[in-house]
Amino acid sequence: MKELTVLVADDSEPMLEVMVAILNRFGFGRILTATDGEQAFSVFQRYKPDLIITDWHMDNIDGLELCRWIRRNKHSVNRSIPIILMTGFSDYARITSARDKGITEIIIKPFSAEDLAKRIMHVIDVPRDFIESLGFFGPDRRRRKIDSPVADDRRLMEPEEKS
Amino acid sequence: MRDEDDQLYIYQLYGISTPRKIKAEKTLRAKIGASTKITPEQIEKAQKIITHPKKDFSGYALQQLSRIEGAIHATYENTYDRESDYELIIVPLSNIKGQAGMFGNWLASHLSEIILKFLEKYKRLDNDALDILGHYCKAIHLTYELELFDTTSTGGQKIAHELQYVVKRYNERFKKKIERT
Repeated sequence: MKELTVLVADDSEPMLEVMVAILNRFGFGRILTATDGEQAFSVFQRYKPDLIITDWHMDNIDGLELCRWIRRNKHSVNRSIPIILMTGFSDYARITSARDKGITEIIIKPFSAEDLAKRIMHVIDVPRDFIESLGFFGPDRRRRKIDSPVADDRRLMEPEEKS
Repeated sequence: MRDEDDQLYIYQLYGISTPRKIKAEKTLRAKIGASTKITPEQIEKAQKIITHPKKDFSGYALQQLSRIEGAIHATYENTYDRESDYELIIVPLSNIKGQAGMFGNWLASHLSEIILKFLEKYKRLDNDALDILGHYCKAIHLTYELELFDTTSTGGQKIAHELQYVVKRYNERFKKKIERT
């Protein structure tokens, strides 16, 4: 992992410190940090990380807006960089909407070190195809459930069945 | 012809409007080599950071809680448009749910999850829902005052049951209301 640079964005300082400590244990070579989306975008442009892990809700520019900037900006240094979004939400509609905005993987907080390691290894070993069209640039949203590391995540609230 | 129609015509003319698939390449795998992975030992060491947190999260949690309390107070006053207030409450709530569990306060995380699921189900803030949120805020304060962080402790279970009970009563009342109409 020492060859990889990861950028972590979170507006909560304690969370940022925990994430840096965890990623250090995972053996990442370089860990960059940012406390909001705007700062994260400038760090991303300058240091060209290999992977981004960002919180969804941050003051100023949030994780989804950061994702939109990276995917849609023609000056972006790597439009297809894997982006893992951290969130406390587990509502199905919210998660789906985040996927539709170009997020590669979503991890629901609180998570274990194993959950995070699985997501990271998944973006390394099963990179997603990208789709470019007029209104969208992002990972292919169609994928088999079996490909997903969250297929067994029962905390995700499926929409209620209509009787 | 409007500008965007003109633009669309140019896109169609050059075939750009057809979605293009860019095949994924294993660039990260190539960078780290074929056999590199995050080992179980590394995961175990990382998990210790979550299980035995050294960082105090209470300051951040209480800050998020005061955002919720402020929004509850404002929403009671607001009788005509509560949709925007919903987001003001649900975001700090999800922050506490997500992060308390990363800093050893499993009880606060669990209580927040109960309320988050409740709000995500109804997506509305009537006065009864605001009362439940008030109970939740008191419960979170209590967890920090009494240092009740474990969901399995007697005190922790009691607080969680009380919160679940008020949510259950709301569900029953809501169901009856629907049946009547």
